[in-house]
Amino acid sequence: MSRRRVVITGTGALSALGATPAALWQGLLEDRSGIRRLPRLVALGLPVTTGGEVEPETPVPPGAERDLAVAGRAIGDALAEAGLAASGCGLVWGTGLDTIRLAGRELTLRAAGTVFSTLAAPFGGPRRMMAVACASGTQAIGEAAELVRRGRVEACVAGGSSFMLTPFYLLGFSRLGTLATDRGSLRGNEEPAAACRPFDLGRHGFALAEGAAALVIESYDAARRRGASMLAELIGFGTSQDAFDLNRPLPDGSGAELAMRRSLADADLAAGELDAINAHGTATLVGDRAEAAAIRRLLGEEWRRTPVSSAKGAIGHAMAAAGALEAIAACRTCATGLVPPTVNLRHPDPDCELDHVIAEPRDAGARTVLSVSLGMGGQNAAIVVRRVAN
Amino acid sequence: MYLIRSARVDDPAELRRQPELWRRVRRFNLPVQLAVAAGEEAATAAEDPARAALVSLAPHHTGSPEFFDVIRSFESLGSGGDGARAPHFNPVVTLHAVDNLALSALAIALGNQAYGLGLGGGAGQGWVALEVAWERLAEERETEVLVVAGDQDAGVNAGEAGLAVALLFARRPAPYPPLSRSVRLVAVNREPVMPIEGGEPAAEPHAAAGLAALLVALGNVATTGRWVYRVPAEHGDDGRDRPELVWEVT
Repeated sequence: MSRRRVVITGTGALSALGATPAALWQGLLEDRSGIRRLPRLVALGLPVTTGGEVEPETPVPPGAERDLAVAGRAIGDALAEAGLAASGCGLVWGTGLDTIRLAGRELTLRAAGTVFSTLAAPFGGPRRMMAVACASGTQAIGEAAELVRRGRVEACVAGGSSFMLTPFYLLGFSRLGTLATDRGSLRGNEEPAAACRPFDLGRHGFALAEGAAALVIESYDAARRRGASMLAELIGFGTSQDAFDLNRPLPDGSGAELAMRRSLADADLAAGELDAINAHGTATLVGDRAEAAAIRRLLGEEWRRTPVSSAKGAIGHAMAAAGALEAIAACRTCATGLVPPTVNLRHPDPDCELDHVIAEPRDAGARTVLSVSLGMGGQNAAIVVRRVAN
Repeated sequence: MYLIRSARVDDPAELRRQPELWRRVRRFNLPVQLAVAAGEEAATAAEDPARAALVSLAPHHTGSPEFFDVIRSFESLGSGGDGARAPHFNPVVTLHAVDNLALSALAIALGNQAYGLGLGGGAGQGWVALEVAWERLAEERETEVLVVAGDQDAGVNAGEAGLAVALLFARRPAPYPPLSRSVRLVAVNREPVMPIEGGEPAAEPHAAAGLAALLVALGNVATTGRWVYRVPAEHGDDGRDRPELVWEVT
């Protein structure tokens, strides 16, 4: 039995590169980083002073909650581009972790579930909250595609948002050895924009970032009936679990490889048919090495000819939003054939040998792209997107 | 799909009385400790726990006493300080905020690299977990699905009182021990809630409470045949719809 085709008909994205998907894509193509030193972190005397902060084009109204406003804006933009209303759609969304704020001496903690319920309120279809750490955005997209394939709903908004640039998360992740601290950088204090360098010899962790990204996942038939414009087709989804460690990946990347292979099997695609890979690429020492090994094994000899790019040098690691932001970049690659460079990658680590795209975009004529997210704790997710064939 | 085993763990002291379990879970926060214990107990009935799909709900009330101590210590951070003033804390406390900790810990304990889904602790997500289990088994992607949920009391009681449940579903029929009968989930129906005067009672988000109440009600079913569980508003989905679970006891 043939299954329903699923396409992407709308996107919204707010990242360190700007408040629209176009700004995200333009920044990636220009090899530009949105990571910068944040005065509020310097003032707190933290060992990490860089991050990827979102600056909405329209200021958040006084009294409004910034995380809800930014996530709501991404969702609204995606729905507006698709020409759909929330009441007719489902929502599959990762909100990241609890929001912790100190207002004066008062501690306020808002549960991630409360943020989700607020965002989900206008949606009339299935409402599913993803909680798989850094893989949440990608898994949200895959799960939404499955809901549409099953006919549970004709369209679903999927993605994630994350607002974790707070002292606790900055210190916590730096002490877990995953975050680029000022001291760990060869040039860190001089060049905050270069804090996160995926696959580079001088990498020393990721830059924590805020962000929100939403994609409208819709059945091909419904989109065609409406005359909606289709950015890409989602043809494969796979997940896996490392079952290894709480904050280290399997050193050989075999858990990540399993998710990639499952997404290809779901797409009924051979690895050699991939034109490009949007890597997780967090710039951690162990993580990048494991992921590169997984990609080489996945592609066989084709790894020498398949361009690989990571967006995290440009936008940092936006945790629950990361996979969705990167999926939007992957869709743009499908649509244009262009693979953006990995920002800040200048001297590839020989242990991370891949066909890296460096310094400038490559016109690879790419039509089929694998996008990978590898969550802390070992939850992995991958999707395959393809240029829409009518 | 058939419910073939469930487990409920709500006594933190009991965890300490199991040295092997306690050694593995003591660094986690309470909801995760309880969830791992419940998940492992239910998984003993699985034919192949390493290949079961895992669906785990994040706690709605996250954190731990140590976590809140660390957060409060940030109140001492002021302007113009230096890095040395940043509070020191055990990095493991960071994990007490992480949403997929129970899923990761359980996958490690079971050696499970299969499909894993972490659902958030938002209102009504426990019923989504049952829908996901239903979908995976109906599509024959797996033969077993383990659903796990752990949570704790909010605020001052965090870390002291909590509750976790685990439900093991399978494609094969097997007697559900509390009833000594086969218990099959026939459907998860969702109907929009019609506005009522005074409004619906508010949902009280808690990852495990709704599923725990279901298990209590199911355990009291005295007859065979069709049994319908209408989810109470406090365990529902913020008033958008109210799930109705249709079971068959034979």
